[in-house]
Amino acid sequence: MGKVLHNIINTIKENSYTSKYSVFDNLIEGVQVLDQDWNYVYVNDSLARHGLSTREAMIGYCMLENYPGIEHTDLFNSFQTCMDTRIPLEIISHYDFPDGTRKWFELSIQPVSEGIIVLSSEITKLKKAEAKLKKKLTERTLMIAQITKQKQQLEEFCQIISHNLRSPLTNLIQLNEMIQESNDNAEKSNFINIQKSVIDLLHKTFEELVASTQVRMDQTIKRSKISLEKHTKKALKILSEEIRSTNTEIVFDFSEINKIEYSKKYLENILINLIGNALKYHSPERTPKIHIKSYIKKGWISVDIIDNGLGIDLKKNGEDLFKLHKTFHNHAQAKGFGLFITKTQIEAMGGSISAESTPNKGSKFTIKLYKMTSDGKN
Amino acid sequence: MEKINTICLIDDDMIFRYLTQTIITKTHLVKDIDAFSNGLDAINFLKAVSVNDGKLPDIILLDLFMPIMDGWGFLKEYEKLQPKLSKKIPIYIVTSSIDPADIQKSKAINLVIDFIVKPMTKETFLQIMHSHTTNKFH
Repeated sequence: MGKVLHNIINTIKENSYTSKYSVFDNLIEGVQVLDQDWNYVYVNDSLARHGLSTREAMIGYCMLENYPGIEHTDLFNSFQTCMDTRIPLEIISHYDFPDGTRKWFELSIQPVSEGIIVLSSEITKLKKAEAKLKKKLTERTLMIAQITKQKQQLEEFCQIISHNLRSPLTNLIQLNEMIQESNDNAEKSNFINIQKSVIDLLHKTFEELVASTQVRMDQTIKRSKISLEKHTKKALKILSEEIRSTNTEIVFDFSEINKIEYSKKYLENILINLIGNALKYHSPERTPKIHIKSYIKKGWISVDIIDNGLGIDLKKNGEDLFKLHKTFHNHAQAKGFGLFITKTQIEAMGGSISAESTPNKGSKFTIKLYKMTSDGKN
Repeated sequence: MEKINTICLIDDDMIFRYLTQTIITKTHLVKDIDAFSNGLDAINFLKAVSVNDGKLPDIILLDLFMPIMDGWGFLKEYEKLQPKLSKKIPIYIVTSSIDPADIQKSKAINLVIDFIVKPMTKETFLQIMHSHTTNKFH
């Protein structure tokens, strides 16, 4: 574009006659010539149209008065640069008209004897298409992320079906055959007792699975502005009996972030489960201590729950820690129970949970509740 | 049917171990059963008796999903250990998994004779014993 303009200017310079710029009159591109005081020396019809004005209302008038505020725009800065340095410029810039419309232009600015000459093409449509495309791309990226997450959840679900439900079921089939084949009443009654414990476990696993599916399917779960401190106190009150009997010292600090946008129900469940676990697995060798702290890290509102309890060997149990408990012995305290639902609830709210632990030193559970939006709102 | 001395049973499910041991005992085809709740305990046992032909099991029944060391981890360790063992032990995977990927993966491992999906009934166990005696792995 600059080269074309340069050639035309040269042609004009060669045949200098009064209305030397009239050669631009019918050009599709907008052409304007501005003098040192920003008065329009020449504009063509296209430029007047771009400027939502007419040639008569422009030629002889000052740009600064016709377009108040233009002196604060990038567009004007480029004009000024060329006017001062006398060096040609090619830029893409926009101008916001008083009625709110924004127009985008591709501009070639060149110094001329009067001041500067500006050749401009309007590219608003192109810019709009570009913005639309960018928006579509962002939407697509989000959608792919969501599909990936759902696929992962489905795989997890299949694994639960295969291991947590199918295992006790096969035990029942095996037991049933043994009961039928047994002729010894004492043995039969023993098998029936085992059968009951397997049925109880299968029932519990099933209920747990239903509960977690409900959490995932629940579209109605509401976020509201709630206080971490208030709900921690509430959780501690519910656990007060366990805290008293274990003589546990509890310290919390929500000075960095207290008000969050979260589900009241889930937050309470999460806190009761994690603090409850810390109480349950305290070390009898020392005074149990639990430290709860909220903070913001890399935009994530997070909560740490740190204890000095028994700890977990994560090398041995790390992968299974947040899974539905898969072994089917008759332990009264199935510790996988709470953590699985806790993890499901945290993930349903867009967060994640992780653990660090040293056996016989203690554990640290880190909950990333959710990421703050870029405008700084919670 | 030919009798064997020892079967090694590796499974973290206590009830499955108990039921399977009962089934095996009732067949009167096996003298001893060594049961382990994870792959690591079983590997450590095999290392300890590696040169003692009499104490090494004749058959290994291996679960896949266990804490500490799962079935795949066991197979990896066993592969390293096998050259030091005084005999070759046939391994049967016995699992509740019906995932085709698990079946595929186990078929690619030479050490694995068969992939058996639970429940382990008397009939299933007799089939293992039958295939073992006809194939003559020892």
